[in-house]
Amino acid sequence: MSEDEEDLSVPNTPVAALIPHDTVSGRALMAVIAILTFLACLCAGGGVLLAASSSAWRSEVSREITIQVRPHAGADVDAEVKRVVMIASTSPAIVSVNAMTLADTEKSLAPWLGSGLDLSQLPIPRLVVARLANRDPALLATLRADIAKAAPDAVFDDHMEWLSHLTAVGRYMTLFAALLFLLVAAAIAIAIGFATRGAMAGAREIVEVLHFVGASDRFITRHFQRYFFRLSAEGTGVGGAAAILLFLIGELAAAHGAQGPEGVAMTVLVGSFRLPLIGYGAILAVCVLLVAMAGLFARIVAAAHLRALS
Amino acid sequence: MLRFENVGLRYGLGSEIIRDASFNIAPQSFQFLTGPSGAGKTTLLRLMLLSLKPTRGRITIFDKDAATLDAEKLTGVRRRIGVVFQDFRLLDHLSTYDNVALPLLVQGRAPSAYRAEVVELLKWVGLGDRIHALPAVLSGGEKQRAAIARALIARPELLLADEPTGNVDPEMAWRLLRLFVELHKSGTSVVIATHDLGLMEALGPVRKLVIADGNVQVIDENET
Repeated sequence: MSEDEEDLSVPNTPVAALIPHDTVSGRALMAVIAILTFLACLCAGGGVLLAASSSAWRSEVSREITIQVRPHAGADVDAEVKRVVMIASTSPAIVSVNAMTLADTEKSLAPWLGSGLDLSQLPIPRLVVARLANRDPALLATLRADIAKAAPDAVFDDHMEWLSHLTAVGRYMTLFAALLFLLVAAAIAIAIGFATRGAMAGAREIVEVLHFVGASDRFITRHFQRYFFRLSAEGTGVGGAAAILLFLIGELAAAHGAQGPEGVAMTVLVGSFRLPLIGYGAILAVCVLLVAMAGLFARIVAAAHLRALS
Repeated sequence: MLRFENVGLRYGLGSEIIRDASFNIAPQSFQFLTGPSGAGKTTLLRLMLLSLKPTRGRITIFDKDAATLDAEKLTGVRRRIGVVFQDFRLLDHLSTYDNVALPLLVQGRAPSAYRAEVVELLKWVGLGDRIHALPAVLSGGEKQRAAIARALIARPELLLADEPTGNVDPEMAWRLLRLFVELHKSGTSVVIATHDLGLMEALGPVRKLVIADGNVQVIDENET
């Protein structure tokens, strides 16, 4: 190889980053961004998980109505239950009806009252659960009236009150997750703002030299933006990946433990710990948003700093 | 090209460091800026580079009043000036090649378009084998030559050099001086700040800006 050929081995893209990357403050900022991104992703993923669980609860609850047949003096509870079942079965709003037997009731109360009790001596109401074909208010009103006639002491519950509570709780939890996400995003923005100021103060010599060799403020700003863009991309990448990993581990652990009594109880209480695909999409969107936001903030702060210098 | 009219500079409430400086740097001219150490040579160069604002008087550069230049116009002016700092001001995290290529890079030129140009200049100043070296491993003389190459690479209309031969041996000093003379012949105005009498005498009669006690005196030996 001749000497000239050797000279041309100089990289075609000699633009080593004008702002040095591997600095202590850069690594510290990357760690902060990674941690905050992790928290933001947990908020986003948790919000989606809660929304999905809430939706599943509401869907399940809204598909059923419950009729309580209360025992009272001189009443034949079994006969009343039969009448209620017959009326409900004939309603076009109902798909199927299931009357809980005394044994079923005993089983459902066992966690609270213990097993082996003789419930026949207690005034335990009998439950009739009916699955709805549709939630037509007119049909449900007719059914309610028919049941009131056939069993005056029966309590008709269309679950609307419970549904409205669930909806409110789901909405509050989602709002809470969104608020947490906004707080974390604000923390990242502030951290980037301070870091940009610090980096520009630390790189004062570089900025001065760049000005002397004819660099425009726009050029310098662009390089600072690129620096923080890369830094935040690395940080959010780590934080986002950690969050995804945590959800996957949680999903696996939940699936593994779902067979046990605790798992069943957890599933009943909070639904399945399975982040829907949209949740992973939300985590990726959060990472992209945070990187874009960090780049934008770095640009704004760098431009303001240069304006102040001039 | 560059005109100082009654320019004065003071820091805060102190006495004036530069007093009533009035002179003109003509296009395609060559001059030394000389004076004892601490007389204000570097300060005057910084005023010429517009990195300091005078407290009074007027500086006109490339037919523009320096006081009216906004950031964008100032950038345009600086692209027409090459500067060699006494302390080199090389960026420590960039290679010699990247440092020298910096003025072309900030102008938005494609790296492939100036690669051969930068390598050729580096070879000319004797840094052909130090292309990939970082400033930290360069000797004082090598840093100075890299700083000079950076100032020359964009073919400036005005070159301001602060003690450009202060850290090199006489042979390299003479070689660099010839480089400045060649640059001058190709149309660049050159201002070299130095207190090296030998260097000034080497060129024979030449225009001098002599600064002492904040006063600037113009001595043009070609006119006498």
